[in-house]
Amino acid sequence: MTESKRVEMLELPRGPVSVIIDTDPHCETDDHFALAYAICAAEKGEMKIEGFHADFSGGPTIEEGMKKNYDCVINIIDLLNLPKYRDITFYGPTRKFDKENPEITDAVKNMIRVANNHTSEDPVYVLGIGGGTTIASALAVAPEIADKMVLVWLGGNSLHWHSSMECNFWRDPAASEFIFDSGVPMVMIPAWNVTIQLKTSTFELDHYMKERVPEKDAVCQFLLDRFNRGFDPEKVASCSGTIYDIGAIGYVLHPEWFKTRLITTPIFAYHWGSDPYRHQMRICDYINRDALYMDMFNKLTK
Amino acid sequence: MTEYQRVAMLEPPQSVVSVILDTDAAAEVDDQFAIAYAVRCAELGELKLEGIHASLSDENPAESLERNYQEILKVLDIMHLEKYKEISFRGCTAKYTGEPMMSDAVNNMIRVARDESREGPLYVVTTGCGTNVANAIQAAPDIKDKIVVVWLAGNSLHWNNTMECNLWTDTKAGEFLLDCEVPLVLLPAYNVVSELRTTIYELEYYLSDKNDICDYLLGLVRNYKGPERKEGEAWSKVIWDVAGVAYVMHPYWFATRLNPTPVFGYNWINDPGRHLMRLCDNLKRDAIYMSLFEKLGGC
Repeated sequence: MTESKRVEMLELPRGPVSVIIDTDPHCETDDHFALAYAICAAEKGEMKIEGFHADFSGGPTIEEGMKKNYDCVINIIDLLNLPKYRDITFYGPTRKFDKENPEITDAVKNMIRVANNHTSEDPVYVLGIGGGTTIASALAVAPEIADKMVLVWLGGNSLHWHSSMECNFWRDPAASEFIFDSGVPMVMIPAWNVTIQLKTSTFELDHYMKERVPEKDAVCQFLLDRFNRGFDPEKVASCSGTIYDIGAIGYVLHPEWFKTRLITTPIFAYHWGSDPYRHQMRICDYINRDALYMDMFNKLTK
Repeated sequence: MTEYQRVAMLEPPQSVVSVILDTDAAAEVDDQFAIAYAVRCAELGELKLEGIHASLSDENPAESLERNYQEILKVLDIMHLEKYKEISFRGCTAKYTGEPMMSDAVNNMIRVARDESREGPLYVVTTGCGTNVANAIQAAPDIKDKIVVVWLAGNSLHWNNTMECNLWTDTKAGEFLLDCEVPLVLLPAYNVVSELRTTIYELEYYLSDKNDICDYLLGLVRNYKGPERKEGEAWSKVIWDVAGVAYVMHPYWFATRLNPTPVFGYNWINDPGRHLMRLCDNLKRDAIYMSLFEKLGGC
């Protein structure tokens, strides 16, 4: 891929775009919000979802953790009573990424199939809100999909941060390294200090999500309960919550809320490596939290 | 001052420290939180408050100074802690020119800084522009090795500009503070202190029906009409200035490191040979808010 082609694909998305969401909801609350937000946006015609891919996390084995994540996706779909999305929800990895012998899972097959139906002018946006195993495997099996997709990956930390240590990028480091080297057009939305600013509290969620249309009552109640599970207003460590993952969904819906720029792709490592001759990527520095949250509240409740 | 002396003074503050709060109290709605927080902590013996100084805050320096000074007195009245009025002083009525301009605040800063009975440095927590501090150092350069300036100003060094009110209200004072080699702890706005976000709904939970000052602070946020409060957005408010007060009591809630002091400009200019300052990268939002709520509501 030429540098100009990559930079062209990294222009801000002009929706409605097609997306695949690669997710690990079992261990955290934020994926659940992101999934519900995405489905509600799709139902309003603001994006087209072509796949939910279950990443692994939570264990006890990779396969069991992945299946738990799959079940979490199905749960959100069922709470919204939209069974058609079950048909595009796929199992992901049962082992970590191996460049020489990538695992061809249902998720990998779906990603290759969907990407091959797209073009560089109309790419599918793969929204990574989990680890990189499925994405790296698909790119290893079918390198030609790199110019038919844009990866929006939520994870890592800003390049000035003292380390790249963050769950999504470090769950499967070999996959992350492969993705950073692959040249696939990539938008990185870092945790520190970017999505970490997507803070809310039970008080704000209650205010905006208390009133909702009947068909969204179940999912809203589930999200509130799930958020409150980790929330204790009297405890220092948990008096606010961060819904990181809606950052990736928001980016394809309203890129104008994201302060981004092109940079030279760093070398993936515990300490980011710098090589000014590498390919370009887009990195996010800041998100308009207030606009993004209002959009999510509107989609989840109306 | 040697680099070693400066670095020693930039060690995170320990135990109970002496503090002057230099504030543009009425410029926004966050300074009032910082004043109330500092005064309450002083009452509880968690810091030693040696001055509350009003600074100018806009293009009408004398008027804004007076407004900010009156706001300090108002907060103290609401808290029924009039005794702190005796250490509340008006700052300079004009922007920094390079020639020292005296004011009650400048005199107090020099006097307190020179007090030899104090152990450790005086922390000048500056939550407004740098005018008063710059004038005090210009008038009495010897205080540079007696104070640490904790300043909420500018943005992170990787940010694409330095545009932030405290730095840009009095640019000459800002440039002076970055050049004069006084020990400086910089708490940047984006993306660092900007994490100190709350909402009316959270404030209502923690501050409603507690006391007069909580009512006042809650009212300020409810009535806030700044440009970032937009129709159709889920507005959240950053209570910026409490970060400065929290730092001197709880430095380990702040991820900080030594870094060469950048050169002032619209964009930060990096000069790796400059003197070191302490730069904050991140803070523990929940710990700071819980401390703030506990102090404000607990009386």
